[in-house]
Amino acid sequence: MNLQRGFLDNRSWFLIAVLISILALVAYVVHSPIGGRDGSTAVGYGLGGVSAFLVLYLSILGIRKRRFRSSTGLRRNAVSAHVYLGLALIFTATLHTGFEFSWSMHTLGYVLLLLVIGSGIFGISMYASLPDTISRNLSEQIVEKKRFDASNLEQLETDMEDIDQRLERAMGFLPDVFRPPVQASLEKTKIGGGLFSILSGSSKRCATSKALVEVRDLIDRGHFSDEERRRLVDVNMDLARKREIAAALRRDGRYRALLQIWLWFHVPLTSALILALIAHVIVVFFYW
Amino acid sequence: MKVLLVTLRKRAGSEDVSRRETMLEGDQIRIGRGVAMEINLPDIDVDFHHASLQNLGAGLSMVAVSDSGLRVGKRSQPQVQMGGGEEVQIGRYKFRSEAGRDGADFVLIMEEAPEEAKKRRSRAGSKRRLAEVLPSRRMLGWVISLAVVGLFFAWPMSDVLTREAANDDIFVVDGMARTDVPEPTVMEIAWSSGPISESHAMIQDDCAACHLRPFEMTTNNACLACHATSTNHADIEKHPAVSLENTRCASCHKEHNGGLAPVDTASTACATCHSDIKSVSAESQLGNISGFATDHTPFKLAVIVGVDQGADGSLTPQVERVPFDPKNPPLEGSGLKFPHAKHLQEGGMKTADGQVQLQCADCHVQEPGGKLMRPIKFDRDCSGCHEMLFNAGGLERLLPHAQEDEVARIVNDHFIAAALDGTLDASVQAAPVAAAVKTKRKRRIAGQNTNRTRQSLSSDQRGQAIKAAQNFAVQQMDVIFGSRLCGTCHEVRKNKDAEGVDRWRVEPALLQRHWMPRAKFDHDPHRVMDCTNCHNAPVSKASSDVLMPGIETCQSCHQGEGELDGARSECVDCHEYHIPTRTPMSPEHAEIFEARASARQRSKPAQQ
Repeated sequence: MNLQRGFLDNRSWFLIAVLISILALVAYVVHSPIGGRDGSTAVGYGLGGVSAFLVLYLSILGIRKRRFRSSTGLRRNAVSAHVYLGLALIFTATLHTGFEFSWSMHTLGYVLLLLVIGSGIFGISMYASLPDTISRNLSEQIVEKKRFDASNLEQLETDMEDIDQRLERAMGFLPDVFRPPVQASLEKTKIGGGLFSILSGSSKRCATSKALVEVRDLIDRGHFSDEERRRLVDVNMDLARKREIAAALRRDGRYRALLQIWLWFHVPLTSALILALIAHVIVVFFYW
Repeated sequence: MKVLLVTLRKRAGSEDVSRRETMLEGDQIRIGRGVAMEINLPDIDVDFHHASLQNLGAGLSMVAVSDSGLRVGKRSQPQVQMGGGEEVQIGRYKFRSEAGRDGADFVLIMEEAPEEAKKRRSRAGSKRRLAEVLPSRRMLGWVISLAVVGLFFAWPMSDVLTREAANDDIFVVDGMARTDVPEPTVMEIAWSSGPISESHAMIQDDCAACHLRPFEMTTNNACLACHATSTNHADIEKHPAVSLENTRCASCHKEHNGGLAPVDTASTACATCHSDIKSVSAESQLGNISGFATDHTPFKLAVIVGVDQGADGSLTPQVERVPFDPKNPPLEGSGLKFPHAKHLQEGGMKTADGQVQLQCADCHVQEPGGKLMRPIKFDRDCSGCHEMLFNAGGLERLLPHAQEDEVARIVNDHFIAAALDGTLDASVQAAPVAAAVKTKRKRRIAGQNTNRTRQSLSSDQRGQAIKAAQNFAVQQMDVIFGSRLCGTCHEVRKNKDAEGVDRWRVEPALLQRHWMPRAKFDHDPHRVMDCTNCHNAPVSKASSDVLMPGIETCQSCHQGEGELDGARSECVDCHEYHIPTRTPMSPEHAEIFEARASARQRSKPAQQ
């Protein structure tokens, strides 16, 4: 069983969620009140109550499973409950609306709920697929671990620093025509930056990548001494390697951002949802 | 030339300065990035061979070799004379010169600033984690939450709580909407749990018209403010079990569900009582009905079995509600003789205008704005063909419909006048009344009555003439009433009045228009059908035939409840819950309403 995906394999929470969904559906179909099915019938109040309870319970669970770094098993159980009950909430809350939507605070609450659940589903899908990709992305780039306890990421960072130092040293032997590309690679090779460059993870405009092209072009066109040639072979290799590491680091940033971005929706919208939910309950009984 | 190079190196983040002295010798001392340079500056900003030190006679000079030049202060110079205390900057290195010592011609002091780590490792400064580029989730949560609560809850609530509540004790006597309801706030509309029905459109934004007090379910008083005269469903004196005294209006009338009106159209609500009506009211005469298509009892038609005529001539039908069995139909006693078959026969009817093919709609026209057919009137619907024309002796006259005495008087007067004029014979000859109906009326041409000869009569002759005239009149009346005119369509009888004179009487006739008084049938939605789909008139030979369709005919389209089963078949599609003839649901509200309405009526003229 994969460690990251373990939370999806919990059978009991899955069954409880299915049971809740089926019960909600049956109650909704069987009960046919005067005035049609909506949130203000007996079943409507029931579904609303269950939904509200689930929202609060899942929020507490969400806070707790992040706060207590107890045993992995317990935490995984909590995540599992959070995921499956959250999915069951789609059924109970949607049936509570009776499919009546309008430009109102009530529908606003429902929309917030769907956004929270939707961002959660996005999170699940990311957690289910990305961890493997993340570790493969970095491990593929590792040539040699200089320190046995260094992480792949730390190793690649170190590799890149070493390359930069070698490039700088090589410039003591290379004429000034090589300075612009090498300097660009040293100073303009950006990993991350703003939100969009982090999320895109694109290496299309990588300075090292351009530098490599330029350096190769200069090598092809120029005449150099043996010493310079030896150095240029190294510079060429170093730039190529640096290009690969930078691309991997950018992908790494993108994957890690994808693994987290949903939280910027899930968490703030949950707090808005809870308040909207409280306001919804007060208002429907205020104007009963 | 000997130069003592003093290197002062500052460590990053420290005030300590390390110092090293090196003696350099040569005519030209090269400065640059290249490792072969005498003064090697390992900085990529420095050119491979950036500058050279030379003694040009006037002391130590620094001469730029590359295009980059030498920076002195803010200016770039190709050559600098170092003796005058100038400070030259190349990359992160600063050079200045002092007088020579320890055997050196010159002393060159080189200050090396610490490497700018940030500039070099630019990627270390770029943000790689979301937390670095996005606002904190907690802050976002606060902002969104406060916006939601503030906009949708706090703002409208503060307005609602600080304004005056609507009056619980008001009756809307006139006009459509209440005027005492406080204006709603902008965002209060967002509290609405769903669209208001069209019938309440005029109060759709007046939350407080129905929601009188916080945390209280909408009260019946709020409904009765406008609907004070709503009536009961059943006679609650006979059937007290169905009294809705302690029931909320809103338990059946659910608002905020849109639609035309907050009326539950599902038959299931009716069926809860009507599928076993005896369990609700043991005395009920009604049959058990759970749905139109399943077990609706046969239609109970209001059949006219006779017509009473009051002293003032007003007609009152004797109506019997008869369960309608199309195979064994009841007979209608309308008092009329009317064969539909003959009027609708193929090839048309012979009329004064020739052969005319009649259509149903030639006589039966839907009431403007109404649902039923307008009543059949002789003058409008029959007289086009059935002209009541009295034609005798060159005189043509339309006889009035439904005025027997007037008809008798006109006929009498005509013959007496003719007798006195001495033109009786001619008049009698010209009086085959029957012909008037069949032949086209011809305009009498003035001055053509040349056969009329005026004679003066003695009083005896006059008496005889009048008598003769009266006899003719009696004969003519028999023709007019008995066979040719009235008797064509009506039952007629001849009685002797108190003076022993024969008096013709037409039996009163009335046609039923509202066969199913408890149902609200509308012809409009049925227009796509032929009349004969439901009313089999072309084969009906007698007016006693009841041409209403049986329930099976309706059920062939209205196949059951629910929208997927053919035409709509819910109870409320034909029946009303609040039956207008019943007592008010809330007698006291109705009483107050009536009192205020009549007070308002009385006060109206005074105001004008």
